[in-house]
Amino acid sequence: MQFSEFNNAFSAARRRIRREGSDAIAPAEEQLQAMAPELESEEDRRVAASLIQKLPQYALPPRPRSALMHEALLVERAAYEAAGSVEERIAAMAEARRRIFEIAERAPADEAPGIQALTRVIEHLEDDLRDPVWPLAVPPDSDSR
Amino acid sequence: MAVVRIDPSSEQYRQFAELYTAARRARPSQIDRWNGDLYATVGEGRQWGSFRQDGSFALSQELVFDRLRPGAEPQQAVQAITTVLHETNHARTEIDAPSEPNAVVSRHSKALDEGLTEWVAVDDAQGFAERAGYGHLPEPEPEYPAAHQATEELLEYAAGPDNVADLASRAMDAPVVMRWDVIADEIVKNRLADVVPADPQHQQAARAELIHAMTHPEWEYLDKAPAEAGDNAAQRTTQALDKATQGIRDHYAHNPESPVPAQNPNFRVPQRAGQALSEVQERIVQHETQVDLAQLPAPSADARIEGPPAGRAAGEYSGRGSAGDGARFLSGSPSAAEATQFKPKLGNGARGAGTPAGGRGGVERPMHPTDRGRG
Repeated sequence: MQFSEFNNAFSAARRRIRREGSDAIAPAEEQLQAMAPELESEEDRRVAASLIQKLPQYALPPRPRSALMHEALLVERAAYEAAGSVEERIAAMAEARRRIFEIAERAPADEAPGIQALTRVIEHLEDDLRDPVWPLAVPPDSDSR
Repeated sequence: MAVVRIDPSSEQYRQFAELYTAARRARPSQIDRWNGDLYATVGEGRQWGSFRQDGSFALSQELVFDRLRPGAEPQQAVQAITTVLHETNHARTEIDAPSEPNAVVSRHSKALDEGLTEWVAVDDAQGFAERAGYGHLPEPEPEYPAAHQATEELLEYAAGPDNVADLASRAMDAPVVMRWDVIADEIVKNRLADVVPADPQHQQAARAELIHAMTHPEWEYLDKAPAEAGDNAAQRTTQALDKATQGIRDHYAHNPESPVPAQNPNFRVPQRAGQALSEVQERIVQHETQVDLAQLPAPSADARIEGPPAGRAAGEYSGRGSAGDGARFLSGSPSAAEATQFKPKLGNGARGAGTPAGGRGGVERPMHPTDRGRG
């Protein structure tokens, strides 16, 4: 069995435990422990065993969202949804990234990286607006710009 | 900010190459677009970095490389390795699929690419940390960017909550422009299998109709005006999908022998001869410039997306009165086509798309990034 197949089952089990709570732990452990011996390498089986041990932690409620994280999420989502020209959207995303990093500077050390990480996707979307990767999006002779 | 090339014989390069190899072992692919070059951006500290169009990686010294070292805060290390995983995932798939009728060659696909790549990186992070020797690290913060959440809701709509990772994996194995097609295929299988025949033309057309609903849902697919529908991108998409799904059912109730009259999302692929278009599709075509495919030049930087097709008002292009905002899931450029025939290369366009041999879980070819870097 490819590890990705096990990993997908682990992902589903984790989501189920988060959704349904501790009652879902034992069935998930049983299911994944039955799959693990089918993995192709010793390394895959070692990783699988370690992941199975983590399952109970997913029944714990997540840490409440902090005020700073809430503030950063609002900034990130506004930039993601921002309308306007390409230039305006680039500016919105760059400004959002700047503001999110400033918010992270006010956060405790164990929370700041998670806040900073909200910029990972908009940084890439901003990059793509500046230098599109797409080979052809509209017929070139119909491009109005 | 300085961009510094990392010496392939250095410890920093070796560490990255090992992480890259570990990521590819966990999620194999026959595609490997890394050219072996690795750069660090030094002194800026507010950009994570990326897999670049020339095939190299350029990652932040402060946010990534420094945080992969012993002594970094655990949450810093989690985000550093998630970044490596995210970027590695960008290198394991092709971008384009020129001959596929359901390819979406617009920033819609970049938005889905980013959302999906982040979703998979976060989902894989714990296993990757174990494999790469960072097994002590905690879970990342349970708060995710908007693209991640929109992706998750779309995956759940298509596959149900217990199958999202499997669908995400199949989408990640497809070329970037074909990922909408993979998700549409899942919707057809799970929600429309009782009405859409197994015939490839019927399947492709049904998926095309759903792709149009996902990539510009404000266009006719919603009963409510966009402003009334609210600003929740994922909600608008699922509403549009509900309506498109019902539309496909209605079509087959009256025309069980004919495929749904859907425009090919990929304007480079001619439409089938004699294929009728729905009212929505006719409206799209009316606003598109007719394309003489024989006259299209090779793709170039100048031909890339920068705005709506001629003849379309900005409001029609964006759905919310804005031009050029295709980075969101829900607005942007539809595609045009002038039709004669089509010939899908990837069969049903979904299962196995982007995995040239063996489909999902194909055998990874031997790779030695360090060696290539020296070359």
